[in-house]
Amino acid sequence: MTDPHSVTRRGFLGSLSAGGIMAGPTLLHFAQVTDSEPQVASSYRLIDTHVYLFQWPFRLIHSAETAELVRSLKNAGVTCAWAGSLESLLHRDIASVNARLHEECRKYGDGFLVPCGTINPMLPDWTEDFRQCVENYKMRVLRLFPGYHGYTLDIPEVGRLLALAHKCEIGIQITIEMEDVRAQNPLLPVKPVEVTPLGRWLEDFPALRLMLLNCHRAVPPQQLAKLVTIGWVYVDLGMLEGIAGLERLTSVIPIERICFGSFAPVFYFESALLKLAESHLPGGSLDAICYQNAETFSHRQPPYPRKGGFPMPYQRTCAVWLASSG
Amino acid sequence: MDFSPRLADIKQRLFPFPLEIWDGHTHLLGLPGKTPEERLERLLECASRLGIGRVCVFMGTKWQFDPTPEELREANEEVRRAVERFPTRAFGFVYVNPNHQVASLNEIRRHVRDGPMVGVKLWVARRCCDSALDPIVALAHDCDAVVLQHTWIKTTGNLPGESTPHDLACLARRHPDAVFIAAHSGGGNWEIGLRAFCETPNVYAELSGSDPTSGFTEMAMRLLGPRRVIFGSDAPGRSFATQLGKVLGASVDDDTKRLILADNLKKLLAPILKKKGVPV
Repeated sequence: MTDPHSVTRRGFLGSLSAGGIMAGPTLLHFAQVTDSEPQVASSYRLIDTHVYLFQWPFRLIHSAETAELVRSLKNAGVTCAWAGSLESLLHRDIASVNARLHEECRKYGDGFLVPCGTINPMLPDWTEDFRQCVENYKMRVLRLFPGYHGYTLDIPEVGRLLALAHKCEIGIQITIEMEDVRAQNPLLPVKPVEVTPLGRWLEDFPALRLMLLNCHRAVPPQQLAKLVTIGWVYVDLGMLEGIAGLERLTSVIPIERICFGSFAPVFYFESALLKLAESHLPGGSLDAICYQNAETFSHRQPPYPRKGGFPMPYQRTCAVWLASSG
Repeated sequence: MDFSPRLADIKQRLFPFPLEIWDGHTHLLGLPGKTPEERLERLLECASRLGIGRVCVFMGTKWQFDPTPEELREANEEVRRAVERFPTRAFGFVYVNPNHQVASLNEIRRHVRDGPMVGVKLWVARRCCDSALDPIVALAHDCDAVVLQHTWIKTTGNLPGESTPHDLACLARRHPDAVFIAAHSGGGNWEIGLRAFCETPNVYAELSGSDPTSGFTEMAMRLLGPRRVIFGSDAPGRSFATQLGKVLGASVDDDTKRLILADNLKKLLAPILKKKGVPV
């Protein structure tokens, strides 16, 4: 285990500016996590890219105890879960939040839970949080909550954060919304995140990997399709609604950008799993959604050539779709 | 069925025991198809993938908050055409508007008393605590039809004519012999909505049309008991999957799931279905 004091913040930031980065050890750590996942009776693998630990502030959730959540996810066939912390929403001591998340995943997850720390770029010295997550906790994916932390995606600090993630080869998950605005506690209304500014950052950082969580209600399909053509943008299944939603989604963005993500335990896990059965998808698509795309997102192994954006069939589909949607 | 091994595995995990599923809340709007029949066919195709055998459907292919008598007639004709194509799998509810009482009563006579439909659907034209609904409820009850009323509590504010669960409880107390289904049970603010029905045993809480937030089904069960909770999806606007997950993912026993997913609705509709010769 890495000594948490072995890399100072000065050394960390210095290594970034010099172009050196710790991709080797962190990738190894992630590989160890997935390699050590528990074997289930079936032959399939299922990576849930959108899970939370700890308590949702607004109601008691049955599976909020980590041991219970791990048990229920494993029973449902999940082989690896990327876990963020619900404490991130309202707590201001993000360093402690990330430390508890890391420890909880270590204690209960046994390699099954992969912690996704939170960065709040509105906080002073947030780069130290970033360093701790990447250096000390070996996190490969970090999660942002712009709506709850009170910033928009066009501010310079977001650019700094994404530049750092780009440099460090860290995947960034952006939570677009956590609740239907019609159902929020009236004392804490939080609007969905406006994603338009991401286009600029994706052009500035062409290898940056972003995953939009719970984006499907707030981000129109044509906007999603546009973002996906600009850069490495992925989505989860959270808040994907309408019958056969995956069939419709795959007509807008390539299947290679869709990852299984349940938003459990805030949402019933089964709601996400059932989506896989509700749509008829081309052969092999389920494996792509269930684990291959998540591995690509976290390992930086593009499934097809980056140059040109997408395979021809998708380019055509997307162009037609964008033209028809005005 | 052409299930891949992965899909078969998923289904085995989600349906470890045989389940009959009736969906109490679906629509035709938003489905592909040139005719209402084609739209319903598509809906049933997707429903079948998740084991949903029967659906209740209402409100045609165009929606208006405050439909005119002509718009009501058109919407109900569309639904009738569709359900007559699938008489054992799809059950129509007649859409009415208390702002047009005479037209609404005529629609109930045409499609429920003298036609194949089995329920009455009320949406957002007028809050349901209003006395304008009384003749509609009385006629529905005479026909053995259930009354399904949209109910939401929106943090951002309800529409002027949009009912809350409290409005429905008020109506239900005036008609203790009629049977009501509280569509959405208050929607995303279900913690408040469900409480409204504790003292109205003739109201059944329906789970459709909100995000699959954990705890909804468990709280409905706790407050109302297993026999007053009904599964509904609000498809195609909502996903069968997300809504079914509310029940399959709930921490309730398998017998309760069976009641919620089919038996409770079946029991409500059985008298009128039997009168119309539909096998239950």
